[in-house]
Amino acid sequence: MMKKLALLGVGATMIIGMGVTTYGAEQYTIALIPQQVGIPYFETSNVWGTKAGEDLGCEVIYTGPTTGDAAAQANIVQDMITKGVDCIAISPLDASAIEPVLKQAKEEGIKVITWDSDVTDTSLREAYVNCCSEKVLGEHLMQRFAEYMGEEGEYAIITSVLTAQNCSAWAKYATEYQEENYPDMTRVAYEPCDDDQSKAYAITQNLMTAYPDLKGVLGVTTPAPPAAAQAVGEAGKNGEIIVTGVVEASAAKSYLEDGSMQEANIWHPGKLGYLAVYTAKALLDGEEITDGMDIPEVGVVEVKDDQIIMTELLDITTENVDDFDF
Amino acid sequence: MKEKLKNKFTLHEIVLAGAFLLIFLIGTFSNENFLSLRNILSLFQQMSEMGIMAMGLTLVILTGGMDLSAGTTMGLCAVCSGLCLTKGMGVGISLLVSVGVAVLCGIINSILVAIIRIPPMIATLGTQMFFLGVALVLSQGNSISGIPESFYFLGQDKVLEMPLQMILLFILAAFLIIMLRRTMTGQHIYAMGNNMKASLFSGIRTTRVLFFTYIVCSVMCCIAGNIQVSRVATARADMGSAFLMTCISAVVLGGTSINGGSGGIAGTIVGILIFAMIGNIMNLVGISSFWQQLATGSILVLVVVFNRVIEMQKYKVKSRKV
Repeated sequence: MMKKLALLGVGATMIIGMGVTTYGAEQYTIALIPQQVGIPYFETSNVWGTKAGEDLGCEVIYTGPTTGDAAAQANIVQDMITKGVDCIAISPLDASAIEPVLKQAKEEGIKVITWDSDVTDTSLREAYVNCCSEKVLGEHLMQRFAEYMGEEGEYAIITSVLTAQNCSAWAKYATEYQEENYPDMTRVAYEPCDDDQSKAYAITQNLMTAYPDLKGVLGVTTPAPPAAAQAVGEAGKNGEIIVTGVVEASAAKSYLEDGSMQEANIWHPGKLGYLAVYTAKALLDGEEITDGMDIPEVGVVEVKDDQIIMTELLDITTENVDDFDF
Repeated sequence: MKEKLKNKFTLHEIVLAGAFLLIFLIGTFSNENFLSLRNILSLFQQMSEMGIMAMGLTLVILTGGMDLSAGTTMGLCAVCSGLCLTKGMGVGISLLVSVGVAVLCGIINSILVAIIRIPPMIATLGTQMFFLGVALVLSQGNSISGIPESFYFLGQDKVLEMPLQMILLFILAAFLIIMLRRTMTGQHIYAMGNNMKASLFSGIRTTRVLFFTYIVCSVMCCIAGNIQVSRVATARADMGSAFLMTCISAVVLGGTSINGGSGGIAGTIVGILIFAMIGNIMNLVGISSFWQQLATGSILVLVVVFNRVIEMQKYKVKSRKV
């Protein structure tokens, strides 16, 4: 029995010991909290965020819930407050569930910033690091899509839910850009897929039946482009019906390679993590990030009120899909 | 009588206490904030919800049953009170509606288990999905925010510096411990876990006891759900889903036999505390959540294996004597 207990003790001490050694002195500690750990998207943010910590000379603690549990995320924030970090940079799982603990953090004098997604009560955080400007992404999506379409023909947009603020805005800017610049293109449908890949798949099948002349599907929510590509591929219409949209490289890869999807357009989640840490450090140093500033590793950012917005977007094709691990 | 006293502390209890102390010491030495009153209180605040649900589950497991619907019952009750509160109903009425729904959930479970006699695993697997479905339909899958501040008392208020839910946890624990040790129903719960048929033939009204345990379990889930709604000021259908497995693990870690008949509330609380401390220590030291799962898992496996070894040795000794 004592042997077993001793074994347990040694194991646990080793695990704890590993953490203690990283505990530095007299540098800022920034908690980088994703919506969930273990997802390629956020792990990329982790790698870049940690790199930002090394570049800027501050300690970055990357920790988050292992499941999509908003209360678990609140517990982690609470522990970070107890730990006494200098800044909490969080991507809230639930825009309002996190507010009571962020209020606590603010009362303790800990700086709070949000990244990737925002809280409802914006007075609780100092800044929001936004992945992209809605207008820039919407227009960029249409530019790339139209190029593959040959700037003519019927197309459809698949969005998440009609009430999703960001997706709706992307679709709106994309459509407006098309109306201004590509008069030979017509939008025949605008369908919500409820962020459900199987529903997006069924929608694409129905669209192909309903509009035999359909030449393209633009997905403005991540499950939509792979689903549309799958439907197009199964109908044997690779290349005849263009599929592009917002989707992660890992989800797009197989469809890009079999030719059913032409391109994926998305921001870089790693750079987003880097920018979050950079913003936190600047805030702690009392420095300001200004509109048009060129942030190392990240690129030019746009600043609107208390939002810091990335402007660089990735165009992912078969050529470069293997360069991205998210 | 003498033998009873001897058995007051079983070997498992000693091992559990040892593991608890060890983790406690590691926490104390690895971070100066761990032993602060403030951290200990926030630890209890965080573990209360899970602790309350696990206590309910302990009762059901003691009878030899299982309630896999505990997590989704919590979600459903959370959504119900969330909806009532945001529709402008008073705090009291909302809580009443929520508890009412919990009692209903408990009744459905116990009808399936005690009257139709479906194995508890299967019955509650079905109701698990059913309750989640109802919660999703009611909430339309959205998270319900805008909970009025008058409801924050349950999860955010403090009495004499102590979080309210922590006090609630201790009151409920005391109540259940006394119930299990001092009342007839308590004795019946253990008896049924040891041998359901013998209990039935010796005149225990097993159906009634089963109804009681499943309803109490659902109500405990409801209390946990409402505390969480109040703490995070949001209600979601999937709120307790992540709790179920951790709670069952804590019950087992705490020494309650998964086949029923032995164990108790105190062990469960220690089990939950161990899990909560591991997470807390790792967060304070700044270790990734992956390691938390690993540590929690290893401790569970070690303690369970250890119990088994003791049990087998006991058996060997006995059989040799025979």
